[in-house]
Amino acid sequence: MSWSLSLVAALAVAPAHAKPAEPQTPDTIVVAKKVRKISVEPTDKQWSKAPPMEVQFSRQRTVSLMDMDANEKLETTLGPRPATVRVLYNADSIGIWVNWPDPVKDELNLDDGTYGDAMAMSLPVVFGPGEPLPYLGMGDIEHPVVIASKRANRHAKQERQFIAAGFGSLQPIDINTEMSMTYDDATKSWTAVFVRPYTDGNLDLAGKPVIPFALAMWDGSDLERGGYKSVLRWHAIHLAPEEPDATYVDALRWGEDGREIGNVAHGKELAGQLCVACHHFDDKAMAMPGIAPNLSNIGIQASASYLRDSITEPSKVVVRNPNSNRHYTKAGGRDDRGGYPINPMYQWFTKSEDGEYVSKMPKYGHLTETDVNDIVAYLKSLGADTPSAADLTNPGEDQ
Amino acid sequence: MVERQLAMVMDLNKCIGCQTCTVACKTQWTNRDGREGMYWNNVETKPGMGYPKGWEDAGGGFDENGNLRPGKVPGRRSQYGVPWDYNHDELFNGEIFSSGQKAKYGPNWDEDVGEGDFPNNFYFYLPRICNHCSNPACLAACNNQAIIKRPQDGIVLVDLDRCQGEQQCIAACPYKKVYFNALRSRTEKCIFCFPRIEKGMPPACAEQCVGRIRFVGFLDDEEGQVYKLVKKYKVALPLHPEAGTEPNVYYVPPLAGPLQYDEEGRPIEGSERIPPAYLESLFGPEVHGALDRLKAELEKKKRGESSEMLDALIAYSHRDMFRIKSKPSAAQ
Repeated sequence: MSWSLSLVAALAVAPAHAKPAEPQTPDTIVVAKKVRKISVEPTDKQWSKAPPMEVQFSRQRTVSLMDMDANEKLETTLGPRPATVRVLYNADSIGIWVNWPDPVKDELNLDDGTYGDAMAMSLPVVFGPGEPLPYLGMGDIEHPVVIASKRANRHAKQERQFIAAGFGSLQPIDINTEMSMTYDDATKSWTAVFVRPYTDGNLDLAGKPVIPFALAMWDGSDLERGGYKSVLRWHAIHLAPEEPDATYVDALRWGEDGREIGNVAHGKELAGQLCVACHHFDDKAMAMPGIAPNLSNIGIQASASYLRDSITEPSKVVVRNPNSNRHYTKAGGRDDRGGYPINPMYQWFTKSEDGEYVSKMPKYGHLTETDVNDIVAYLKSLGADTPSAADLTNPGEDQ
Repeated sequence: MVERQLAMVMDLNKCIGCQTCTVACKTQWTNRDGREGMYWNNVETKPGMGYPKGWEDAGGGFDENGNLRPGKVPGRRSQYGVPWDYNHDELFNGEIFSSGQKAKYGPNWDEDVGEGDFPNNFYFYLPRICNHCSNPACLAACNNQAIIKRPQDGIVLVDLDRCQGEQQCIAACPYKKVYFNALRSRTEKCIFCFPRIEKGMPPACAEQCVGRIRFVGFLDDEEGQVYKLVKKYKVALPLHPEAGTEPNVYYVPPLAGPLQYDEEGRPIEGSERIPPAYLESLFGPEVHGALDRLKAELEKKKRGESSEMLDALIAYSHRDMFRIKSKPSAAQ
């Protein structure tokens, strides 16, 4: 139902006199159209020249909220959210247009404490052949991301831009992304547009024919904010007709969009032996909650190539904890200023003497390539539609 | 975690509920820029629903093993109340005095209501600011690490550049002392008047207090009255210690007050007007010992003996009550 609704919404913005471009088949690679000018106005006729691609945002609960009401909402707000993406580029800028159906227009306002609907765009600072994609959302220590976000707010223009290298690391930077977010009452849908230059002090996208991007969507009606949102996992823009690096495109597509990379059943068996001591996933919940990321939704959050790297070389992408202050220990008593120290058991990484971040996850370099691929194939199947029961039983836990 | 910790002691036996602290804070910090509806300092009547309404039942804090617990974000109209204006201008045109809206709640909504039936009803006032906790739940809840605890004095602050307005700190704070500014889409809270502290001045609420109930100083300053009341005589206690955040605002609990009366109006010997169990629910089991020590020192003073504890509580001079510039004691 909602799929066709979003297609209608997407077509509705195309002015009648412009011939809409042919839709693209769902894929990790989104083909961008070259134009002369890119407008942040969602109904600008240039946007109808960009071929639309139907995508599915997936509900994500990477970082649990401390809000009991939002946690209760979890049980009623499951399932994917469809959207349509178009990409335009010109000599110096790139623009992403995203339209998604939303029956209720939520604007943050003074009167009743409504949370606003919002959309954010994430671009990697370091990318290209051989480079793993950043951890989705906030990036990771070696792979920062630049995020532009726009939230519906009745009182103020709420646009922000950040650079981040892991949970809790986001730093505000000067805004050079033009943003708009417009609700269309006729189609009951939002359209957000982000237009930004290729290059600035933080990011250099110039001369790259394939540029990864990810999106995140928050629905105010569902009390979504922060770690409760819907995400579009890493996709990539192809600036057609520039010639892309075929191996890079293959690497980005590896294990995505239903491409078979291994034996899911065997992967499940291996994961049941190797991963359960620290991670929660599926019906496996024997590990102490919070000592490692919860993998219940990892299939929709992480790219297959990222999962492969994190098994064979965990320290290549070190994930910061959401907030290690969420757990303190009384074991050693109070410190001499009256507080209790952080419980190190919940820290997902250590820092070596020379300042290098080391993941606490052991390296599984001894596994055969087939075994690794089987595990990745299994992990990619996790969280495809709904958060699992494991997420719902302990909503206050770090995941 | 921090090098030093500033703390405040409030003597509830002397609070008259005049709200001068509330006004001092409001005019200093919260009468503008989307903060109009916030009360970084409020004085509520206990027993009572408090501000925001029912904050003691809204979760948050840490469990006994030190793990953060989820909580609730109070409702804007139903639990904080939204400020309103009266139609003063229209009165000249013969209109009836009205706010034009029906208020559901507000700060100090249940002033002086308390509990119990006359003549055995009781209440007392509880002034509240941010507790600048040693294990702040707000800091622990924030995914953006937008809340910091200053190393030099332990003051807990929101970094507005990093704050994303997720309001997780509000849900997690067991005292509900973090507020949402919808105009800025960021959370804001009591800053312990740190710009005044940096000039050696006490927070506005403390300096303006007409009952002189507030003492401000470092917990490691053994000459200070804060140290003496909290550490030496253990007569000042944190509010709801079971919330596990290790607060740094301490309260001298209210003495039980007059006796209860029987049906014929005769005082009941040995009775307590404020039930000790109620005080324990606020200040923990330490409250009984604290009250005993307080009574013992009162008796000493009545006998004409000297009492360092009571001399502090009498609050003779601001210079002794506020020791902001002190250095750590040598022993520390």
